[in-house]
Formats: sequence, C-alpha cells, structure tokens
Amino acid sequence: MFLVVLVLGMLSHSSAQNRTIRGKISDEKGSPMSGVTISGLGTRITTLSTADGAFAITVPQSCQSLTISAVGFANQNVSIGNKATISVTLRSTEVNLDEVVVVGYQSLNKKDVTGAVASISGSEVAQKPIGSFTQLLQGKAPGLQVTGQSGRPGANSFIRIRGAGSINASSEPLFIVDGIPVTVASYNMINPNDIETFTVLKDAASAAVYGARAANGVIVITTKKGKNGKSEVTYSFQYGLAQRQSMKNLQLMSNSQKLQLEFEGGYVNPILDSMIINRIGTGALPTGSTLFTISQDQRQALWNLVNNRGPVGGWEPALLRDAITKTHQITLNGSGDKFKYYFSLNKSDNEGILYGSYWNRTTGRMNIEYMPNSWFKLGSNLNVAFTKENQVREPFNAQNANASIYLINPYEPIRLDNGRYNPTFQGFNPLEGADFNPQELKRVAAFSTIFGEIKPIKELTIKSQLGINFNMLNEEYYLQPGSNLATLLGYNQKRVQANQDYLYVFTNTANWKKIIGNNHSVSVLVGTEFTKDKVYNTLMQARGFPTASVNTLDNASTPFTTSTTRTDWSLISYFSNVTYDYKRKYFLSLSGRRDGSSRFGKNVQFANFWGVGLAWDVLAEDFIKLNALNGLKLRVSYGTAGNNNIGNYDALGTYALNARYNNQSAAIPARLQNESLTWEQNENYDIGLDVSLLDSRVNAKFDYYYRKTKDLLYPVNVSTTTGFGSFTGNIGSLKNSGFELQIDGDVIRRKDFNWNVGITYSNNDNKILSLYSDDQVAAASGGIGRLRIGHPVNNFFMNRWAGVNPADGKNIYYDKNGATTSTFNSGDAILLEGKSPNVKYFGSLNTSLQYKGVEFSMQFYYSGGNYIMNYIWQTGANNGEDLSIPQFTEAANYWKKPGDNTFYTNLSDPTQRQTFNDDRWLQKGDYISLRDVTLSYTLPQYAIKQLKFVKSLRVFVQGTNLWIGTKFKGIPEVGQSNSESAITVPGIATLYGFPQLKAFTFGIDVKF
Amino acid sequence: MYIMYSKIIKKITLAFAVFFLVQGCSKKEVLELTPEFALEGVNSPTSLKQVEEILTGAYSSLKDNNYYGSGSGTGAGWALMPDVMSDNLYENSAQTLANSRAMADFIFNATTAQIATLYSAPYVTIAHANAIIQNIDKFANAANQTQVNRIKGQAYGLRAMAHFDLFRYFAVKYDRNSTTDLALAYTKTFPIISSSNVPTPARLSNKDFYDNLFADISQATTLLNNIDRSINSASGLTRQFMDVNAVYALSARVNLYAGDWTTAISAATNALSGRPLATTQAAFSGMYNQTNRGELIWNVQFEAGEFGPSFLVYFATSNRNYFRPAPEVAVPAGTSGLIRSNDVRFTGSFRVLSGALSLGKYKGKGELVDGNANFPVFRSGEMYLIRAEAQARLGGAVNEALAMADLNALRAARITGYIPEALTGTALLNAIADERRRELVCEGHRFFDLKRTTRVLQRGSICGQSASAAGTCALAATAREWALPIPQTVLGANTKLVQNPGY
Repeated sequence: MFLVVLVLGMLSHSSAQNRTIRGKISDEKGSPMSGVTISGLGTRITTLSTADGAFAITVPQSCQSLTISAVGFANQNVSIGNKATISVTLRSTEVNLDEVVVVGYQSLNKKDVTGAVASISGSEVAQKPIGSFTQLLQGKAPGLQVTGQSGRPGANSFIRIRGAGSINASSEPLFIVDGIPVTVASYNMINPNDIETFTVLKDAASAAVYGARAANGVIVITTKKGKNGKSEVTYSFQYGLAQRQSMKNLQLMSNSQKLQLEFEGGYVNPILDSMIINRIGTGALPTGSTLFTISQDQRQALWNLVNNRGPVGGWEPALLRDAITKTHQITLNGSGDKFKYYFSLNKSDNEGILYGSYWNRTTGRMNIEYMPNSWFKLGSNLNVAFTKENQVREPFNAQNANASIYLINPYEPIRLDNGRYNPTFQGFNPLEGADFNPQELKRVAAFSTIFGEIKPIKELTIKSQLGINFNMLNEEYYLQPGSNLATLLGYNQKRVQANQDYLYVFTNTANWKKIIGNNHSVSVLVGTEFTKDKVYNTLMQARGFPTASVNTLDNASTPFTTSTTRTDWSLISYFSNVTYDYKRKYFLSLSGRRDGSSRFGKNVQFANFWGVGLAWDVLAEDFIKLNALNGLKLRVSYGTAGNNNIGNYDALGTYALNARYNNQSAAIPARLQNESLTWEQNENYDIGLDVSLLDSRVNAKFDYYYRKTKDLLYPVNVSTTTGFGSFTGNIGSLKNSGFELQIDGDVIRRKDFNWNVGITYSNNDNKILSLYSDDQVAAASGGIGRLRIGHPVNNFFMNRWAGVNPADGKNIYYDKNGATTSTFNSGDAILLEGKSPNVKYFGSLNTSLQYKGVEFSMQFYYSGGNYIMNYIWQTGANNGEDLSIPQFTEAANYWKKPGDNTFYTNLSDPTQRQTFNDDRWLQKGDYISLRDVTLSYTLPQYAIKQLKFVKSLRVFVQGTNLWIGTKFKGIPEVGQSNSESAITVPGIATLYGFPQLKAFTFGIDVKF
Repeated sequence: MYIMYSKIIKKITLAFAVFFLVQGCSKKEVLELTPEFALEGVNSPTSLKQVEEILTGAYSSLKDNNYYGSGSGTGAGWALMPDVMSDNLYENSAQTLANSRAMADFIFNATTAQIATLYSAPYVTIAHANAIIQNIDKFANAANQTQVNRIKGQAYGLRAMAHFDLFRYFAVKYDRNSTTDLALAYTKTFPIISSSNVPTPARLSNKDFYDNLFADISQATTLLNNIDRSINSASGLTRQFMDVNAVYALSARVNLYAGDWTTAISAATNALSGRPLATTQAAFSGMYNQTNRGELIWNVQFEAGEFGPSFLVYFATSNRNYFRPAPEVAVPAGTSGLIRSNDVRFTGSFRVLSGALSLGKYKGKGELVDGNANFPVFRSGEMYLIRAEAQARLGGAVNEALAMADLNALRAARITGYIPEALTGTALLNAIADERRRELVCEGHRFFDLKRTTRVLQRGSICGQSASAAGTCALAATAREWALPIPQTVLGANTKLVQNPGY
C-alpha cells in the first residue's frame, strides 16, 4: 500500500503542468498527525502525512481542492486557490468517551441519561496486582458493594448493586462484556488492562432493557478499541509482593504461653506425656509421675525441650509466603486506512500466599473494526485466555494451610527426624497435602463477537452481532499413592473433571435517531436476542495407582467413577428503547423487554419488563437563574426487572435413570414438579439529582432508591413425606432501599497542579416483606441465620450470652424470655434484632494530586453495619474445650477467683469447657481500609526526546490494603467463610478461608 | 439521481432482509428444553417397564448412606446406628472421628443434621412406592395382572417397611391402640406441586398409623401370593428382593412391636416357610460375605463400588474402628461376653486384628476387606426369636415350651456343643432378650429392642474409661431421647406437625 502511494507520488512528479502544495495536518489539540491521506479531488493522486504531520503533494493545475481523510476524523475538502502551503486541522468524529455512556445495546450522551448509571474508566482498574476485575471495582461507584471472596489468586468478589435482591437465586449483577453475558467462572479470564469502561446500570430505567436478568443490576463492559492515529506500541510491566492482611486484635500465644495454659487447663499434652513416660522408664522420674505432679523445675525443663522442637517463628512462615506477582503486557493500538485495531498480549503470574498455590493467566485480545465505506462497518472482538491454577484446599481442618496456623501447635516440628513431614497431632500436615495431593485447574476461555453494522440512511443504524463465550475447564486432583490422605482413606485416587460451557448470543438491533425541527430529538431502538447455553461435564475417577510419578487414569488398577452430565438453557428476547428530549430540557426514556426462559414452567415462561425514566435539566429553563450552579438535573425512574438465576430444569419433575440396584437400571423420582414456578420480579424506584457548581469544580450526585423483589426464588422446604426435602418455589418478597451520594471536588485546578478529592457514601436497608412460611432457617447459613418477615435476609438467630459470672466463673446466658440462666439450651436462641451479615453502609474516600509528571492518588474504602460470626476467634479461645490446638493470648485472661470480671470462664471447671454458637462470638464487621495508594511519575517531554523510539514512559509504585482500621478480631473483609464450606452466605462467618491480601507493586509503562 | 436512490433502496432491502431472517429463527419451541439426563416427570412412567424401573429405584434407595448404606462414621440408620445408640458398641477414643457423636451420646436435638437425614431417607423409598402404586393401574390388563401384582405387591411391602422404620425412631411409644401417642403421617401419594397444592400432612395417632401399616402389609401379602414368576431366583447367594416371605417377616416384626403375639407367631411361621436356619459356619458367614445364601429372607444388595453398611462403625479399607464391640458382647479371645468362640456368630461377626476386636460382619465379599457387603434385612434367626418371644409373652406352660423349643433350636444351630435348656417366665424372656443381642448384633435392633421392652439403657464397664469416647453411659426410661425429635426444617415446612415431647 505504502509502496503504491509512493510510486503514484513519483509518477505525478514527472508531469510538467503540476504544482506542489505543502502543508501540515494537526488534530484539535494541535498535535501533528501522521498517516493522514491527502488526495487531489478528481485525481487519483494521494499521499500520506509524515511523522511531524507534514505533507507535500503535487497535483495538476486543474485540481482545485484537496481531500484530507483519516480514520476517525471527519473528511475535509480544502480549496487550493493560489496557496502553496495549507495547514489543516481535523476534527474527530469520535465522541469523547467522557461524555458517552454505553448502556443497553447503545451508547448515550451522558446528558441524555435519565436513569441511575455510574461509569468507571478502565484506567481505574489497569495495572493492579489482582487478577479478577470484579475485585478491582471496590469503592469505584456508589451503590456498588464489592467484597473479595478471598485472597486466593484470581478470586472473584461478591458484587451487590443496591443490596442483595434475592435470597437464594444469585444476587450477582449481570455482566455483559462486548455484548456477551459472561458467567462467574469467566470473570477472571478477562484481562483488566483490556477494559475501556464499565457502566453500572443501577435502576430499572437503565437496566429494564436487559429484562429477565437485570434484577440485580447490570454491569456493561466494553473493551478497548483501536484509537485514531498512528500505531502505538505499549509495554507494561508490573512486579508485586503480596502478603496476608494481618489479624487485627488477635494474637496467637507463644509456645511458653500455650504450654502454661495447657497446664492450667489440666490438658494432658501427648508430647509431654510420652517424655514423662520415657523418663519414668529410665528412672529419671518416679513411677506414676504426670505433668501435674512433677516439680516446677522438672516441668520447666520439659517445656524447654518441647519449645525447641518447633520451627523458628512457628508454622506461619512455612505455611504462608510472600507471594510474587509478575505481569508483562504488550499492546499495539492504532488505525490504518480503513481499519482500527487493538491487539494485546498479557502474561500474568500470581503466586498465592498459601504454600503451593498459584494462578497464572495468559490472555490475547484482538479488536478490529473494518470500515470499507461510510455506511458499512464490520468488526470483531476476540479474546482468548488460558489460566493454570494450583488450588490448595480450604476445609475447616488441618488440610487447610491457613487453618493450620490456628490448629497446629508451633512447638510441633514441620518435619520428622527421618525427613518426612510431621503429620502432627492433627494427623495431617497441609504442606504434605499441597505437595502430594495437587489440585490443578486449567481453563481456556474464548470471548468472541462478530458484528456488522449498516447505515442505509443517515438516521438508521442496523446492527447484527453474534457473540460466543466458550469456557473449558480441566481439573485434576491426585491423591498420590503414599500420601497421608491416601493412607488415611485406604486408597489412592485420581479425579479428572472436565467442563465445557458454550454460550452463544445472537443480537439484532435497529436504531433510528432523528432531530425533528430544532426541538425534538428522538431515538428508537428495537431488537431481538436469542441466547443459548450448553454445558457438558465429565467426571472420571480411578484408584490403585502403582506410583506417584504416573498420573494418567490408564495406569490405575481400578476404574472407580465415570459420569457425564449435560444441561442447557435458552432465552428469547424482544426489546425496545425509546428516548426523546424536548429542547434538551426534558428527557424521557422508555424501555420494554419481553423475555422467555426455558427455566420456567410452560404457562409462565414469558414475562414482560419495562422501565420509564424522566429527567429535567433545570438550568436549561429560561426562568431559572442560579448563577452559583453550572448544572442541575433531576431524574426519576420506575421500572421492573427479573431474575432467572436458578437451575436449568427446576420447574420440571423428573425421574433420573442414574441409579442401579442389583446391577439393573433404576428410575428414581429426582425432582418434584412445580407447575407454578415463575420469575423473580423486581420493582425499582429511583429519584436522583445531579448538581454541578463553583465553575464545575464540585460535582455531586444523589440518588434515593427503593427496590422490591417479589416471587423470590427459593428451595421451599416441603414436608419430607413427599420423599423430597424441598422444591424450588416463589416464596415471598423483600425490599432494599437506601441512598447514594457522590461528591467530587477540584480543590486546586491549575495548569501544572491539580488536587482532587471525592467521597462516596451508600447505605442500604434490607428487609423481608413477606414469606411463604415465616421464620425459616436460612439455607446455607450454617443454622445461624433466619428468614423472618420484617428483618433482613439471613438475620442472625442465636443464643445470647450474658457474660461470665464473677462469683463462680461460669457462663451466664439469657433464656428465650430474657431471664438469665447458667445452662445453655439451644431452644433459647432468638432472632438478634438488627444483626445480620448484610452490609448497611459503605463507600470510599479518594484524593489525587498531580504536579507536572508526578501523580499521587489514594483511596480509602469503608464498609459496616454488618455482623460476622467469628469462628476463628471461637476456635482459638475456646474456654478449654480443646486445648490441643493453639490459642489466642486473650484466652489466658480467664476467671481465676471470685470477683474476677472476665470474658473467659473458669478453666478448671470442666462443666464450662464448652463453646456454643452464641452471640459472644458475633462481631461487628465495620472497617476502613487504605485500599489503594499509587504514586507515579511520567517523564517530561524534554527528557523523552533524549530517548529514541520512546514516546512516553511512566513508572509507578502502588500499595493495596496497606492499612486497615477495625475493631473486628481478625481480617474484617469476609467473603467466603471458606471455599469448601456449606456455609455459603457471603460474609456470614469466618472459617479460615484464603486470607485477604495486602500488596506492594512496582510497575512501568513504556510507549513506543 | 436514479442511481443514488436505487443504491439506497438496495441497502435498505438488504438490511431488512437480514433483520427479518434473523427474527425468523426465534421460535417459542426452543424454550421448551427438557433434560437429556432424565425422564420428564409429568407423563412418566409411560410403560410397565418404566414402572418396574421405579421399583428397582425403590430398592436402590435402600442403599442410601442414611438407610442401610453408610458414610465415613455416619449413616447406616437402620443397619448399625441402633447398635451405636446402645450398649452393643462403644465409641473408640483412639480412632473415632466423632462424626456421629451427637447420636452415640444422645446429645442430638431438632437441628442435628443426622436427625434430618434419618428422617428423610425412608421417605425417598416411600415416594418411589407411591409413584408405582399411583401409576401402575394405567398399564394393567387381563394379560399382565400377575405381573402387575408382583410389582405392586413389592411397592406396598416397601411402603409399609419404610413407614415402620420411621416409626421405630420417631414414635414416642409403640402401643398398638393408643389414640393419644403420636406416630407419623402415612403418605400414600406422590404429589405435583403447585401454588394450590403443597402437602402438609399431620401426624397420625399410633392406632391410625398401625391401621394403615397393616392395610399395606395385607395388600402386599395378597398381591404377592398371586404373581407371574418368583421374585428371587430359585438358587444363588443372595435374595435381593422383597418376596412374600419377606412381607410375612415384616408382619412378624411389626406385630411383635404392636404386641399382637398370635399374629406375630403365624407371620413368623409363614416367613420361615422354605427358609430353614443356617446350621454351619459357612452358611452363617456366607450371608454376610456373599458366599452362601444361608437363611436369608431378604438382603439389600450392594454391588462392587457401592460400599455397604460398615463405614459408620468400621472403616474397612483403612482398618479404622470408629466403634468397637463392647466387652459385654465379645472379647478378642472369645472367652467372655455374650458371644464366645464356640459360636458361629463369633467368627461370623467379628475380626480380631492386633489383639483388638473389630466389627467384621460387613467387611466385604469373599475375602475382600473393602466394606462392600450386603445387609440382611430379614433372616430366619430373627423369625425364631420373634416367635419365641411372642409365645413366651402369651404365657402358659404350652406356649413357654414352644418358645423354649425355638430358642433351643436356634442356639443349637449356632453354638457348638449346645445343651438344650428349659426356662420359663422372666428367665425365659431374659434369655430370649440376650439371644436377640447375640443373634442380631449390629443388624439394627438393639436400640429399638430396648425402647420396646425395658426402656433403660445402661452402657457396660468400658463406658467412662479413656478407651471409650462416650460421655453418656445411661439413658433413663423417662429420657426424651428414646424418640428422636422431628427435625426443625420439617416442622418449618409443615406447620401441622407436632414435636415430640421434651424437645
């Protein structure tokens, strides 16, 4: 291509009646533009501008004007006249991203938005040491509550937009990436650095167009597209060090403290016991000696011996490590004659802080747009990702490395004298488990969209898009022969599990936009969408491997399990959105969607959802003059949305044929038919105000919302006489209401120096309004949560503890009626008013400073109002119930004599050596964390000029969760209790899940 | 001008063609997805063959970990749990994982998970039986009547047995005619749920419950006496299905609990028809390790890879004893306790490894030690004991002599060199109770036998010693724990249910 242009250029030089015109092309900012096509109108002569924007073109005298064209910029015809030099400024046809929001199936000018919408720029999540973008959204928008599931590398987070809208159907919002709905499993398959914007659709006016799946809000993600102009290569590197967040307000006892407590609690330590027996054997101690009968000196001598057996610094340094994260990324970005392109390649290696764990991801992305002419556009976004993970286990026992810190005494050695791992008093060494029971997960994910867009007439855009999301998982879990677990179970085993998930979504939209007269702008969008998902699972297990070094199933002596399953779901949708404004003063948006889902019973398969939004630009009125204000917009909206996040065939009664008896095929009733199973429906109200004042230095956004979910989907307990414990039904309704506030202010706004501060605050009140049957034990709450009308979902339901009786050191409880009693009776449990795992308020404080090339930013995140059942604390300060495990220092402050006011009971009273799930272990989850600190330096232009080939260079250091303030005992950001627990209500309890991280990162971005 | 318009028209036509083509693909039918892994539930079963497959499903439900199967230190609700909850076994401190501590120590309550799983397991069997009984007549005709009888008769039999098994744990008392003591609901339908139909049955009184139970047993007996072919094969190593003998055996057992001695005697006699006592070690042990049919009336069949009842007590593959036989039952040397080395039941029931006693009954088939074993639900030994006890309780010299004859016959078949005894009155009843302990150790009877008779549990000498992990050594007659609580989740789902007293 370049060659042809050059040849053409040379040919034209040879002509005699020609003239040469020179000039310079620049963009709106005045920067020189290279690669711009300059052609003589009516001729076939063209040339391209050079790096400094200069061009020279020789055209025949007859040619009267030049056409200047570049992708993404409006074409310009410049008349030549008698000029020999011509300078041209091109105007971008791209709308500035800051002014546009990508909402359902279209982009809107920010001013036209009538709903509650928040935009988050991709740059806010780029170059952070966290693999899943979901965790990076924490604190980025009001109403968007983000809690990291755990500190496992690649872990996602629990995201709640305006509270938890469901009890049992998922409360996660719908994520749409370039038009494809993505499932939780593929969140972390997207490279956060590839993301251009997030748009959070919070109310029904904005989300109703997503209908059946929008009840919990929608987050629309667009990935980066090619930018106008010459191609640019960027290399980014990031190196980080992650550690566990430290346990707040709790500290494990030292060896000597623990041994002393054991002694005081009358605990027969088996290590000491065998030492004493040995010494009795050699005559060093008299027959019948026990730890409690020997002298203080003799005891101390034994303790000193025990003390030296364990590793220096305890087990923690072996179980945990400083995890290194390393990321390299290279991107190529730009536009050609009729193309725009964005390529990226990213390799991110993340060690986990628990011994043996890691998560490595490689992604490649190619986003291309091809515009052969002014009315037709073709494009494709393609992302392929591969991850490899070693997942260490997280049960509530010594197989979990994090739990082992609190379950294995530090005076136990890690390895025995023969070099093997010490199985310890717990019978299991998690380091051994990590080495010999590897669990390796490999995932491949592809996201691909192909779209065509036709503009047959100026007002109409017709777009057809096919999106595909393909996920493949291969998991291998090997109980190697000779490993401790294989010995305990009596067999060695390899499990191979594979999962294929293929989703396609076919979307067709027609969008008609017109300004009628000068006052009316109308936009009408109509569309259809068809989504289908097919999942295929394979599970194979075999036992009896001869040696650990072979690990494919063909080497096993006994095939054990083989099974495959296949499920699918589909969704058909018809939708429309109409926006209208009058004189840019009054804005109206109407949207509707009809969805049919395969998941519901025949008669209730289809449902309609709709939303309406109104906005009023108050300052646009002539009769209102408020000089202090630069902007004042009032928004109201109402609408409905649905939730269909339940199993694929929950409405259908089935007989499964997967059972056998006497080696004959058997049919078993597998599910109860529910003919009335239908959509979970949301009603949303929102009222909002956008204010801008002081020369637009201060911008504020305020929203009040009320959302009601009815026909909640839930496994309804049914009389077991049916042969079933439950069926999926629609059981009741709940509401979430609250307000959101966001204020940003430019304190200093100068050419070289900017200082910006911002604050967000959101609160949410969650309450059950009606239930099919009141006062139920909440599923997945581990028996400590209840569903009761008038109270939040999963409200704690426990016995109340009144303290330790100073007179006798025994526990005092409250009975059902509030009277005190010294006996614990589970029947005395009551609903604890106002205490639930639901976060009631959260938000962030941000500030950024910019001085020339130096930028400093800081973000605090705060969250509170929730309660957490602290099992880690309970286990480690258990009133002598089990002194074989490590204890926290505070356990030593137990009742010793009458009059003592203590938290812990009399250790020598065997009747008190018991812990129950009472509210003494229930703690407030309030905290504030220094979520992010970033300091960066961009080299100034004069310095860059010294470096050939380099266009810009930025270095930065960054810290994540460097400081946390809380009264909670432990780590207050609680997501999963642990990944293997049946207690799956987010944030309800601490059970040794992968600890949350703090991290330091260094990085560099170079553009060429 | 013309050219320009035609171009535009062309574009529009193309665009709309694409748009509508695409719309055409979206049909409503694509939403009607049914799973490929299961039969759709409303119109199934669609043939007598499928009904019979549901019957096979009903049998497979008995293998559930909470019914006759077991998990690691859990389950075996009607196989070994009644022995765990008694003086036959003790929890072995050195090896237990304490997974069933709540049951073994009687510290359960309405929210204990194991109570809920015990409560739900038999209802799964009942649901199968109801699906059969509800649908089978659709496929009945003159030609297949005896085949229908065979399937339906087993369904009635299984429905009766599963209800009775629930009753044994959850009823407060076993009195036949009490109209005040609460039994359980008796379920006879397999429902389709809709907003207007959510079943919430109430508990029946003992009397009404027994009436339903006996009606089912009588139906099963009638139907199974007129069938197309025999239910179990004429020869073999097992009897995997519930034939008419098994229904008589169930009747004998139920009548023993109900105190209808005469019917218990006749039912036991019918059950024994063609099922003589096993008289050799090979025949006795063979019933457990599937090397001999012995005196099996009905066994629940566990195929390779399907495990069996053992794991609640004895984790065969790693030789881990969560529970061990109490010394009062047997000792490793076989020199003291109820079962001694001269008794085929010693070798048939226990394993001695490193000088300690393990429950070996269900260790595996043949020589295997993998815990894959069948469970004998009914066998002739129990029928002898039922008949003996019923006759003894009827009283009178003639009946007591008949009782003694049954007891002597059983002992002679088990004990080498047994010399017949002649006992009467309380001594006879005590001897029968002891013999039940010997004969039926770890076959799911002890807790119920105590509940049925003395209602006093006193664990033996090992309780309280460090070898035993038990914290509860005795259960008084007045203790609420003799009847398990109705699980809290079940109470929540069905407000018509009433909790057992004391919970």
